Amino acid sequence: MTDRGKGVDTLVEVRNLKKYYPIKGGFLQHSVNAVKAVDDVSFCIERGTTMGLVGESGCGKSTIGRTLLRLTEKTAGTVLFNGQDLHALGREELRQLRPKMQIIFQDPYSSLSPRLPVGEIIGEAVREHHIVPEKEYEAHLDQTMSICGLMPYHKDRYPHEFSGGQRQRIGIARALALNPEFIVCDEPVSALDVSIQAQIINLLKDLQKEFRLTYLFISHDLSVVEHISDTIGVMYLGKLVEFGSKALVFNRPLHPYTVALFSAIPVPDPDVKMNRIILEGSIPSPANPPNGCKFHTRCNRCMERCKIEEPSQREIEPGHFVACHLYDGEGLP
Amino acid sequence: MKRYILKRILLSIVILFFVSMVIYGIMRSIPTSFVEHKAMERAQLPGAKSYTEWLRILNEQYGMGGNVVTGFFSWISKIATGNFGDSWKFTIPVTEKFSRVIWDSFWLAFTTLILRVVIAIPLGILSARKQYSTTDYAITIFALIGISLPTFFFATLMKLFFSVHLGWLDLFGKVGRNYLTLDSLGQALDVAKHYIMPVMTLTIVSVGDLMRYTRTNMLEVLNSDFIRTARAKGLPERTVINKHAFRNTLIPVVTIIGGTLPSLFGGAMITETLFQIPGIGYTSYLAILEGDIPFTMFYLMFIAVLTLMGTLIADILYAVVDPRVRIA
Repeated sequence: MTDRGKGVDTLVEVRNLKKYYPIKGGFLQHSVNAVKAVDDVSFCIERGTTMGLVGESGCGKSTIGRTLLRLTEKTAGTVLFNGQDLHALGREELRQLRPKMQIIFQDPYSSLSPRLPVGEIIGEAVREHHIVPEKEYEAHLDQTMSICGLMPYHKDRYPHEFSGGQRQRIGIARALALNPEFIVCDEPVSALDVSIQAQIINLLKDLQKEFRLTYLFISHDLSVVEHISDTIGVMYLGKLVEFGSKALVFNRPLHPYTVALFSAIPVPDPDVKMNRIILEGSIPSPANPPNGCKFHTRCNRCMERCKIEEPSQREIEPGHFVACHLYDGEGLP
Repeated sequence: MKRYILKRILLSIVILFFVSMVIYGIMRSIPTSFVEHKAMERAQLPGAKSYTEWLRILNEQYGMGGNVVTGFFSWISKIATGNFGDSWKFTIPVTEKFSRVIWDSFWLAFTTLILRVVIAIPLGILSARKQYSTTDYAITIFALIGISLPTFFFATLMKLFFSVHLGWLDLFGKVGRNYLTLDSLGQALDVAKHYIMPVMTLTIVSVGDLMRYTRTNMLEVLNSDFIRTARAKGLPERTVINKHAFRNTLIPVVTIIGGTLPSLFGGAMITETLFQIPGIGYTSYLAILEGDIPFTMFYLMFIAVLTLMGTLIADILYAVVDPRVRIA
């Protein structure tokens, strides 16, 4: 399978991406093992759509986001952005391409430079990359800030003078000011309280509509992901276990992990009987993952084969990919 | 904040009292006695009075008749009125001798400080940027050699190399033998030339700790989220380092340097003595050798004041930076 759900207007294509962090030990600090934070992950994101990436904490979601933008170097695989291999670019070429692909970080407290005024945080890179002519710089800044619900007089203030929600808006304005095509949203709302979460999510959706932005939305909050995404990827221990359009994944989750995950979404109706699947045990160490299918230690439908052989990703129905032995051969059960 | 500073200053005065008590006790207890030495000298002159006779006369003259306790209180009561007395060895007021020699020490320390900052901070930043690289290890080894080996080791090596083998610089002294025949510019250059080896020695031993400190702070900042943001913006690496990272490293580094400012006047006793630069360190060394109590007491108290001032300045700077410290 080479196209991995590739459509007509693919902006981001990830092929067999791997990111291992070596564990050093011994007297000479040689690599004794590796944490496989991202292990052989492939997917595509169409222009103007949002891909939601969900999974437990520590499963490699954020690492995908960062490796994809080459904020950290990959171990293997390719990332194509507009058909360009990001990891093959030279330093300067990559830097020139940076404005096109932005990231919004999870923690609005630590991701803003504490000793720069907000106007500088947002505008610095605009000048650096000549996003707008110099004469229009101030206007562009004011406009971007007002889109994100910030006032022009906020420019001279420092990040610590803002609340968490406002800081996240600064982070969004910062990314947006560069007229990007693609934004990785790395848990942009998980540090905020629920009312602010809704505002930020809706802001992101409005911006997408207006500027035809493409998002990779990383979250562990399934309701948020369901609200904003067009396609969904489910990760477990560095692997993408299920990937497909929102309708397919939410209406007919195939992988036992996805099924368990979705069964845990709270329903705002006390009369509905929840049929939760409780996963036994905890997530294995990514430095020492189990053989075979990485989920087999906690899977309620584990078979002998799962303990030996690692399942490969297969397209079970058009646009719906699963890596599970349950669906080998005969298609849908 | 005012209360905090006031409290600290009052505390410092109490500490100084006890420090002076201890060092006076030590000065009176060391085997080198200025008075006994002088009495011995006088008694050996032809037709002189006996040693015990001289000892009695000199003890009276120098006010050393009583025991340690009365000696201490008579000393400190004079100090309280601002009278530091005359130096026994140099036979001029202690403060006058001090003001004559302090500037040599100051310029030595000041030049060293400038070089230290100029060398240590860029090296620390470079080391942090290339963590665990060959460059990093090379800089770290260089820093550790400087921290670990004493001044007299480097001073001796430098003398061997620059004076004995190459013959470029004089072995010791503040001025050359032709000093008096030179014009004023030539005299300044002559002094500068004699400062080269002492300054180099002091720089080598002091660069290490500031460099390591800069490196640690820089690493902490470089791993923070906002640096990742700055890189994601596509800013040039130079801007990321200078504008985003270094600005945040600067505060702790400035605090540390601020804390060392008083020691600019402390003198470098070993290095000054090795190169016979007539600064406060070398002068005090000579005074201690002969048991010159007024001058030594003044010097040691001065060092104690500088140390207390250093910690006070550092604490105040911390309090300015971090409001949580002020409560304590």
